[in-house]
Amino acid sequence: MISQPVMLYVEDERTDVLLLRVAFTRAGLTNPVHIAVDGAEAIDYLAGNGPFADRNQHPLPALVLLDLNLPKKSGFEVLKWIRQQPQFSSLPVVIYTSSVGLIDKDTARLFGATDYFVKRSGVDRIAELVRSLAERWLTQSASA
Amino acid sequence: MGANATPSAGKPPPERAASSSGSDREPSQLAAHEDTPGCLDSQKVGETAQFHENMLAMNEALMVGSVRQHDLTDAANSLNARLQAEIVERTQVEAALLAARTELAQANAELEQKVLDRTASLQETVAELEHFSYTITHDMRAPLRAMYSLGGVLMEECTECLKPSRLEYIRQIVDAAERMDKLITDALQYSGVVRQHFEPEPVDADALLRGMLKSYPEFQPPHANIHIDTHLPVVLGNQAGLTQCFSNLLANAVKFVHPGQIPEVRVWAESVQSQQTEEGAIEHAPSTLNPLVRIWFEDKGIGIEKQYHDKIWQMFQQLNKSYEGTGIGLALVRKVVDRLGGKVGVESEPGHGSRFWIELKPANSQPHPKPLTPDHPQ
Repeated sequence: MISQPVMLYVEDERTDVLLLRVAFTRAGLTNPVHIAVDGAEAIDYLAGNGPFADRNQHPLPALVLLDLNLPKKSGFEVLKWIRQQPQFSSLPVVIYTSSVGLIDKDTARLFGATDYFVKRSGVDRIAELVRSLAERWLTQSASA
Repeated sequence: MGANATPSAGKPPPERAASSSGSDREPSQLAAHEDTPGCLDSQKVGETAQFHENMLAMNEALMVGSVRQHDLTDAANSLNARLQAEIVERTQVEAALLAARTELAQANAELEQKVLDRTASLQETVAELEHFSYTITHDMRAPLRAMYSLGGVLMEECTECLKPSRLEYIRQIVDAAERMDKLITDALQYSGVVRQHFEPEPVDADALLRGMLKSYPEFQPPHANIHIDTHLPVVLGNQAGLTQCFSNLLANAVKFVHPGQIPEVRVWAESVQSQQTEEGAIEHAPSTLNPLVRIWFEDKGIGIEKQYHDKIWQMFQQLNKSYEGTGIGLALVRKVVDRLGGKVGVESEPGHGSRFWIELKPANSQPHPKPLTPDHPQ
């Protein structure tokens, strides 16, 4: 069975999660989206700690969409941890935040973020973004 | 030669003989004097009487003198007393001065400490404000994003299932969310300008404005006809700040027109002497020699009544609620130009359009100056 590449979305705002799901549908994407609601959970998911050890239930993602302002561990802490793991050194991590600050953008680049997008209003604009992200990282060939 | 050669006594004046002939000669001279003829006794009586007389006179003189001395002592005593008093007084004054000086030094030190403390607390406040701004950006805009985005989805998906009046409610909610989001971003932009330190740099106003016209469809036909009449000079400014100024002035010029009217906007630059401008400019004496650059933005829109010409530059002042806006644009323009050491102004009448201007320093003191030569002089 060929399973589609998975995206892990690290986001504590429920409405942002909902908007992304709506946008995914709008964009005609069927890739599974797994959610981690804080930084610590994101690390547990990727490390396969506890319940996340079951990779059938919690498959490794082909793309991480990462908010910066998160409970427990910030997006930067998660990003730093990811880049410290040899198996995730080339895992695409895209920052998706409401921060328009240049410092955050520079820090993200420094920590090895793959790309950086400021959160958008309007489902159509979000759909446009996820479509381009999916084209780059969520196709079968991209994740192979 | 000299006195020794002629030893004969009496001839030279005695004091001269005495001085010139040594001490061994004095007895002979004295003898010669005693040998002078005359009555010795009567002379001696006379001398005694004279002596008494002299004594009396001297006594008297002494008495007078002692009386006088007594007087003198009194005067001296009182003078002394006065001097003493003055010395005491002066010592006191000096002590007081010293105390005052010490106090002043102390006050100075306290003041310095106070300034340091205040500066530290101000920096803390600034940091808190920055954090506050960040929180606003993040936390306040997130719910608005949700309202706006999900309202939009609802509107699209329920065109069939909802009555038009209900759809209108949703539209109003979506519009309100969008307006509030704009308000927050504008306010954040304004506070950013307030906090930002503008390092004046040469900015090619012409390239900046033309680039802006190219990249925004609302500044192009058929939405608007914007014409740059003259080549705008290089000014001393800040790229980001001037971008905000130009975009706000253009957006206003395009926005405040009669319904259905296609905006007509002209932009040009002229060189003005700072004395000619308004009161206050004269204070900048050294710069009066350098002409300033005034950039005009003229529209044929609805115009502004004279009584509001000052008010429009204030934060959150909206004269006409039938036009979309946050009331921050012109406040932002003024703040940016203020920070660049320039001035702003407006000439307008209802029905006759508005002419906004901003005045900036030319960049001719900078390494790469460009002459202020209009393509078509006014």
